Amino acid sequence: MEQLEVVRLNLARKDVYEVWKAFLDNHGMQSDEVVTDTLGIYEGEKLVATGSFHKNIIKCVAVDKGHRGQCLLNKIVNEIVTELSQKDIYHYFVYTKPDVIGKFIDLGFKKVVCTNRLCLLERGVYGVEYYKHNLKMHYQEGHVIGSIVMNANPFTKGHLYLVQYAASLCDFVHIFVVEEEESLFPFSIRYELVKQGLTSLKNVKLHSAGNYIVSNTTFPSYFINKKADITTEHARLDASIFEHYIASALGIKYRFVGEEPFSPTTKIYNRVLKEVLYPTVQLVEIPRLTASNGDIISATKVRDLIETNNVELLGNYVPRTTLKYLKTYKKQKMEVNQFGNN
Amino acid sequence: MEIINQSTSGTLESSDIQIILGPNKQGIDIDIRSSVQKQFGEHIDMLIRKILSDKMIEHAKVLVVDNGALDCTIRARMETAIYRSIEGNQRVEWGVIK
Repeated sequence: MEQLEVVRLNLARKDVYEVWKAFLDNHGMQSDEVVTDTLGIYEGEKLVATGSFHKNIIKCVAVDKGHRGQCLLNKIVNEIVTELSQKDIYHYFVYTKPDVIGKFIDLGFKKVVCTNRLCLLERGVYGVEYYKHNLKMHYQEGHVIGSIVMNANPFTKGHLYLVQYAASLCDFVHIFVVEEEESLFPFSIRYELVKQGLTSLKNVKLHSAGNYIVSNTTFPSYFINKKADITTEHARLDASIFEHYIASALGIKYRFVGEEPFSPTTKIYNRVLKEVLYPTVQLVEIPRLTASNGDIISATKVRDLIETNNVELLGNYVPRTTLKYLKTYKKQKMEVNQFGNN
Repeated sequence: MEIINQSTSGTLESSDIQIILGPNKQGIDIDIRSSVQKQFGEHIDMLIRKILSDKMIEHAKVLVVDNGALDCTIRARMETAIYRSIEGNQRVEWGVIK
C-alpha cells in the first residue's frame, strides 16, 4: 500500500473547501467552526482523513470509515500536536463526539466533560485536575459560598451591585474574571478595574477565570455567534465544568448572574446554567440595575457611550474607579487618533 | 538539573513514544498511556524515573504516550525532552553527551 502523507488543506480554495465540508458533513461534524490550520490525508484524489486547529483547540477531526484502524487518526493528531509544540503550545483541547473519545484517550487525551452530543478532552501535564488542585488552596470556610463570573468589559455599577448583593447574602463570594482576550479592554485592565471597584468588600476573592470558565476552550460561542443549538451544547460543557471542578473545589453553593435583557447568547447561557448546575449549585438571577435616567446598566451601553464620545454620561453607569480610567483611556485614544490624522 | 520550560519529543507512530515534560512544584508525577500498559506500564514508569534521577532531576511532570517503544527509544526521547526543557534551552552538544 502506498504511504499516505499528511498535507495542509488550503480552505481558501473553493474546490478544496467544498470537498472538506462534504467530508465533515458525511461524518456528522460541524464545518462552521473557526479554524486557522487544516490538515488532511489523501488517498489518490480522495480525502480520507482531516483535522484542524485554532489556537490550542483541535477540532473537525474525522477519518473515513473504510480507513479506520490504519492509524490515520494518529498521523493527523501527531502532525497537529507537532505544529502546536512548535508554537510552544503543550496543553491542548479537542472537541469531539462521545462515541469516538476512546480513540483520543489512547492518544493520551483525558476527558474533561461530556454532554450527550459533545465531549471536551485535553492533553497536557497541567490539566483540569491540576487546576482544581490549585483552586482548592483558595477554599474559604463558610456555610453560604457564592460565586460570580464576569467579563467586566468594563466594570460597571451593575457589576458592583451584583457583587454587593451576593456579598450581603453569602459568607464568602468567589469572583472569576474572564481571562480570554476577545474584548475591547484587555484582561489586565478589566481585572484591575474590578479589583479597584471592590476594595471596600472584605468577603470576596478575585480569581482569573483561566482556561476552564467562559473561555474560547469551554464556551467558544460566547465569543463567536453560533446557532442556538451549538451555543446550548457549549453552555452545557461550560456549566458542567463549573459544577465538577470549580464549585466542588471551593464548596460553591450559589452562582449569581444579572438577568439578561439583550444578548440571546447570554440568555441561553443563563438558562442552561440553571438547568445543569441544579441542585449542586443554585443559580440566582438578579434584575439589572437601572441608571438615574431609567436606562438599564450594561457594559455594552458603556462601550457605546465611549464609542460615541458621550464621556460625560458615563458617570451614570460606572463607578468612580472605572470612570477615572475611562477618562484617561478616551484621552489617549483621541491623542492617538489626532496623531494618526496628521 | 531543573526543568524550567514545557517541552515535547517523540511521535505517536507505532514503536515510538511521545513525551510531554514540564516543571513541577514537588516531586515526580508520571502519567503513562501505553498500548502495552499491562505488560510494560510499570517498567516504563521505572525507566523514566531512572533517567530523571540520572540527570539529577527531582521535580517534573511527565505525560507519556507509548506505542510500544523499545527502552533505547524511550531513553532517547526522554533525554531530548529534558534538554529542550532546561534553562534557556542551552545549546546542547549532542556529539559529546553520554
